[in-house]
Amino acid sequence: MTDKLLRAYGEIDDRFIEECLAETDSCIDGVLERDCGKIVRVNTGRKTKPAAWHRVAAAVILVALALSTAYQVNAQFRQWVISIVRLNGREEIREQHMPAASGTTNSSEAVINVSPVKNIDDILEVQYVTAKKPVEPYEDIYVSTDRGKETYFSVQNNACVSIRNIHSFKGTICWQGQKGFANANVISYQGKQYVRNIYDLYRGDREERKIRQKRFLLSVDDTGGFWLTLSKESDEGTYEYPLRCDGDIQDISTAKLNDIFRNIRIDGKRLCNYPVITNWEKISDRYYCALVGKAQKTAKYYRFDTVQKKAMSLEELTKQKDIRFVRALGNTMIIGTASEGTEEECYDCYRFDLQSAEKKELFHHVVIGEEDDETNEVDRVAFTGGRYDLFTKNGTTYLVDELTGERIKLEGMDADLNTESVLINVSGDKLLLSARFSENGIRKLGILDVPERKLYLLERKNLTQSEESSVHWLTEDTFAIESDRKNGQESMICQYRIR
Amino acid sequence: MLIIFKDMMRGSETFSPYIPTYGMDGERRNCMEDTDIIELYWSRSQEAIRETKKKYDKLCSHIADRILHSREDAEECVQDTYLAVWNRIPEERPSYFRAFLCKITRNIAMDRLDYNLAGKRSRQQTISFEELEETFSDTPNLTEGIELGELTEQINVFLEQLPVKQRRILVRRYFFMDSVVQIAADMNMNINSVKSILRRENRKLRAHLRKGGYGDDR
Repeated sequence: MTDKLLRAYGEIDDRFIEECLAETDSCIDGVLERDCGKIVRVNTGRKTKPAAWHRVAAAVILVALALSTAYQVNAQFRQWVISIVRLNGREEIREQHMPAASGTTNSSEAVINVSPVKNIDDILEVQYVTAKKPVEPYEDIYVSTDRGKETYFSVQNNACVSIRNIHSFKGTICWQGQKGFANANVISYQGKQYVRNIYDLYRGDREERKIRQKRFLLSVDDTGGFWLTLSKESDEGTYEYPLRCDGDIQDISTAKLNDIFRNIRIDGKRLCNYPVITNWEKISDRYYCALVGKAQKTAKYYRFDTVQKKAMSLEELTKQKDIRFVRALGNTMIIGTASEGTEEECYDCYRFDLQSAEKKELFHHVVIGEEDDETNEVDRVAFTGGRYDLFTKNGTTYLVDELTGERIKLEGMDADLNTESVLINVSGDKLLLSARFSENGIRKLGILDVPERKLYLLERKNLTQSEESSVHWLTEDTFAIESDRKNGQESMICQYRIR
Repeated sequence: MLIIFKDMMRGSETFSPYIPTYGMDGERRNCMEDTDIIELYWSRSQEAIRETKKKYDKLCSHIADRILHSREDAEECVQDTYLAVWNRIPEERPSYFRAFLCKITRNIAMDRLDYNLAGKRSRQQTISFEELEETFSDTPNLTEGIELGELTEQINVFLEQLPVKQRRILVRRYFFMDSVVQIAADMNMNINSVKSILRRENRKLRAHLRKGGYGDDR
């Protein structure tokens, strides 16, 4: 059946293949070359395959959960109360026809419009950013890409404010005999630093291209410290090795790399010498864990003690076999193992306390995050990456506190909607739920404020030509719905702030 | 292996160094126009194959590799592609030379895959399209009575009426055999968005075929 369909796809109209290739030229190569010798458009602002610890964000960006208006907390199951706050009226988003905002300072930003703030029931502030070029939010600033060059701006008081303090971190770095290329912009704005790694496809000589196959990716951690991660792919699997930057980040030639895992060995072999090392998790300043091995399929999780310079197998530490994923949560680790005796790809999940070595099962035989509206036969969990998850059993959804194990039943879930994923904010106290994407965008949004024990429900309708594709948190109290129009040549972002 | 990650370091947009070889070779700036390459084929100049290889070797290799997951097999497949193009062009004058090459490569790779699987030469070589199987598993006879050409025509009609984005996702997944992760990354989308679109559009295709009288109700 599928074989026949795939064969049939192999003979589809050339135009569809060409359409795809034409787009791929621009989005993959960063250089559109319709004609030999002519570079028509340069676009280095492409997002590429996210590396390890960034993927959870991508994995949960699309939310497909909504709560129906009938959502109530049944006293029979009440352990704590969630107040439902339904926002009045329906937010209707229409085309913006306004002159460039007053804060616009140059021609590059002249095509970006910012709507005045609109209050929705004094609960949410909403602002629309429309742009005649690709624009995307990045944390709490915006990035626009024009002819391959990224520019940055902020939305302040209904105006678009250009960010000028940008430092380019670019060049070849040699570490432990391995040459790799770094290309990042460090953006400083209002005391905060943002890092954007720039992907550019080098078309020069073979030797230089080889160097650029290895990349040093710059990042900044919670304490403001910079890291460079040597990143490469091989036949064995993914290699990501983080190095702390202790030198002056302003100058790539003086940036001093500190390997905090230097003396850690597994079976007598230095960590950095394993061909596969990925899925890093920072448990604390002292402890980290990662997946390490000679090949991706045989790699195992280890915990690293950066003080005692020791590595310990997580299987040994937790007495669990076949560990498939690990996530740090405070002083605990959430680990997932393959369930035995199930046909589907099911997992058992545990919380493991690092101090007491106490282990508690959180979920048993669950499928993770996959949408499947055909069956309720298996239990499902949507991990948020934070303390709270959504768990669905026999069609009933529960909010689960990973630390306490408490489950709170959410009654009245809309049968048409799935608990595919849910988003948690940076501080881990608010969950963002949404209906599926429809032709008119996301029809319904739910913001669950855990400490306040309130769920705000907003109905909305997008009447513009833009096509909504993702929703995500920007800051701990701001989230955005991104959309594009004209095949990605223009953008629109609905930015919501919880008041 | 399922991978669950969390930001260890704030503010990093990290990238994989993997560069899909979908696009053109690095030397493409010195390449000939497609029309000129076709002229070379017409004049039976062996320069035609050299120019094709120079310009589109990566593209063809990518397609073959996505299907066969074997560099060696993919290389052989690409060589066979050039020979096939050589043999076909005097009779055909493709309007879209790239697409023409892609189709030939894909078909040769699919044949090779069938051959490998039939002989169980490699158990590793399988193509998994869970979302496709999921949608069509309950209607196993949906495409039974349809000739391949007719099915392609139906798919063409279906693709034609789709928005560009959705169409591009389907073509990348089912023609180029790209992974969901790769499509999401290249199209600036999240993985679940791509998965949802694939599922939704497959359901629409199923409905489209049923509406056309195929399957049980025929």
